[in-house]
Amino acid sequence: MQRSGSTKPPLRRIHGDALYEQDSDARRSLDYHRTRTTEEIVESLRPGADESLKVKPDGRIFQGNTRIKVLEERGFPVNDLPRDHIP
Amino acid sequence: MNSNDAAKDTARKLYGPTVEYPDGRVIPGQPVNVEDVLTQFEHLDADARSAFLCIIAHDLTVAVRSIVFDPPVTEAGLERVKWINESLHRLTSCVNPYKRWSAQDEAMLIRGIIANSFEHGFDGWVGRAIATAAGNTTRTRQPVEAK
Repeated sequence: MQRSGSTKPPLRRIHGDALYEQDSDARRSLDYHRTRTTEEIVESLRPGADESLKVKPDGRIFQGNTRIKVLEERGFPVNDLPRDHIP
Repeated sequence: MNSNDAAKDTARKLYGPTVEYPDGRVIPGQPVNVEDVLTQFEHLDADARSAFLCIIAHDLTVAVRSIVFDPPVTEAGLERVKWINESLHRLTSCVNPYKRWSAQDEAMLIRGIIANSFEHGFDGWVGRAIATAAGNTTRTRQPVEAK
């Protein structure tokens, strides 16, 4: 086990809010995730889940953008979630 | 690459995901026992094998996202994308229920993808994907709504 030794960079979504206006599939996905409970979404993002939260070292989210957006809307502390590091 | 080469390459080490926890702990990816995983894979039913292969394919789309998101993409990056796309091409063909492959052929496909990943530098992605797929296809499956 190692320690990162520094504060993690805050999460940053690579899909901006405009995407949900421009892309009907993205909008449907957002609407769907808004129907889920916070617990369900957090569970779906956990390391080892089939669609876990995947994050670059600089905090950019490469998987989990829409679910993180929904959690942010609810005031959930998203930066406290464990992250699956990707290069 | 022939099947002997593919079999030999699965003896090289793949690693699962590296995880960082809120308290700063970083747990490096654990080695993936490919032979065990593939033995279990061949005993899965067709739906579970589909789930396994779809998880790999989905993870590989994240790999492509990661490579191409920050332009300019290097020549090496483009080459990697080309080979990842070949993997996706084969994975999405073999999960078609109208022309389904045998479990053994699908396992051989995974071996080939592993071999290509070592050769073309995306073994980190394939290791993560296989570890995730293996961890999510042995439990009871529940239908989910479209999203």
